[in-house]
Amino acid sequence: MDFNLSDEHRMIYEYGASLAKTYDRKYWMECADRRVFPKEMYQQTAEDGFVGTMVPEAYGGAGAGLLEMELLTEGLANHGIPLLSYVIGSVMSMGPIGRHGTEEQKQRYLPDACAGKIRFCFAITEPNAGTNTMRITTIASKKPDGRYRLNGAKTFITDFVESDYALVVTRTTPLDQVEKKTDGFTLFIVDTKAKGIEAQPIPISVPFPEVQYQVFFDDVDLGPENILGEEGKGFNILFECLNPERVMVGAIGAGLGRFAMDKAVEYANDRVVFDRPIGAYQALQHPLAKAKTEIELASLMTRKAAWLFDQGEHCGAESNMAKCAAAEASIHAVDASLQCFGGNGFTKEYGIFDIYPMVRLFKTAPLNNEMVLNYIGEHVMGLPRSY
Amino acid sequence: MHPIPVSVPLPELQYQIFFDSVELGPEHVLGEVGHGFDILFESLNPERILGGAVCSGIGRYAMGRAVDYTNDRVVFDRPIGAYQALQHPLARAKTEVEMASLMARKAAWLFDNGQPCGAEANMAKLAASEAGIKAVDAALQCFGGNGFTKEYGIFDLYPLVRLTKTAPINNEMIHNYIAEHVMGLPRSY
Repeated sequence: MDFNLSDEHRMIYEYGASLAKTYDRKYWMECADRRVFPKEMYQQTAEDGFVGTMVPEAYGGAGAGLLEMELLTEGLANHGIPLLSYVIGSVMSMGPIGRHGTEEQKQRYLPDACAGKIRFCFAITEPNAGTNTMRITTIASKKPDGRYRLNGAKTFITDFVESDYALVVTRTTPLDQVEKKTDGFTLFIVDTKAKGIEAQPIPISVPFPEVQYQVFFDDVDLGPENILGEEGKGFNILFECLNPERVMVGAIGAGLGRFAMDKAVEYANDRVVFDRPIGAYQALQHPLAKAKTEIELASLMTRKAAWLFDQGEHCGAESNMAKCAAAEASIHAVDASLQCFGGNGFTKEYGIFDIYPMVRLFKTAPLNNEMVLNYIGEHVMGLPRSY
Repeated sequence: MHPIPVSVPLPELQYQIFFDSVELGPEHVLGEVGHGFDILFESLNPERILGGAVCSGIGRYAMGRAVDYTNDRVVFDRPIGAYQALQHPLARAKTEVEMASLMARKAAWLFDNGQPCGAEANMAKLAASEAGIKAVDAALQCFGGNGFTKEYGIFDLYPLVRLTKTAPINNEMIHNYIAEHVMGLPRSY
């Protein structure tokens, strides 16, 4: 076991620090307040070769893994500038296309996506199914001519309209006609501008640049060339999307927690209200120290999960633990930091409260911590199912 | 006068105010010159009591919404309100909110009876801000992603209750008051 970062890993981890010199938290928040995608920043990361971190070099990527993506993302979040497109696009869509796409699909999509010319998003959540993915009803029905008709609705789809393509999770066989609940899932690469698609933005109270959408599919025409992997076997690929998603959430949570605490330490060392810096008070110092410990623990578990994924080993237990721990640690870190700033923390100028909604969201989404704990209780520890 | 943009949704604006040779007369003095601090206590303790009232009420509002939603919403095979992971945090927060509400009412009653209410007003503010935060958080978790939307507006209840942990006075100073002046511990700051 070696806990030192290699020179290459250190460079990736510290990329966020150099990027933040041009595209800082202020830039990111301006994009968030206006809900516009941080195009210039994203393009810069593409030119620097990071969008395609997990894509093979032959298709314009870096040929690296989830650990590199985790380090990169943690580094961006350390400076308050995480990009959700790295989660839904680079990790959840481009990664699987690189591993499971046909030669034609890889040629067609990946070089442009790595260069930042096109963007991918990921569409799984449905209003009625909620966390119960088995119950999704978006269906791609096969026609006699071998093509498919896509119908259904998705919700909370990040960046859908602004993205060029979406990896859409569908059923090609309805739940009541499959032997195993996990059978009958098919992943399609869908042009977000295709005929029959309508998208409505969902106004939310969490400041980040990407927009959330409710998406409706009405007889959208798809062909075999749109299928990623095999028809009916999409669930296996899905695991390669969802565990890495949790790893990425862990990375963003850990980074945002550090970002808030760095600001708090600076402020609490400086601010004197009675006769010493307020950082000398245990009521402020100990919650920060405790949150620092939780953040570093969560970060380690996140990196371990990423490493396991890259080794082709099971990473379900570790991905779930990392997501749950990072969500809670980052909530504690932002809250403890906020308390150091008094009323200032709630102002737009200091912007400490503005970090909170996103870390709190991670306790609920992409999967709520209760479902994560259910997984750990049932599948990792062997307790009976509780729901 | 400069407005201060804050990230807490409430109808009133916050301002930074500068006084530069503003003329005032004896007719503007409330009470006696130099003895304002006694009156100040009559503003600040009631402020804490009202803070307690606001938090208790918002906590109840959030939980009321959550109870309606979780009784109705089915994701697997029963209403999600049947799951202990959602039900127990709500029940716990309900208990805390009702206790904080009682203490706020006791402090208000003491004030109206001309009795010292510093201990009770501070305890009420401390308890209500923490109970309100827990109530909104537990309620929010019931709503999943919907809770963060403008349409459902559950997260939008959070900034105000969280603000009361920090303002008008932070809970650390309340702890200091209770520890030092109510319990007799040494000053810690």
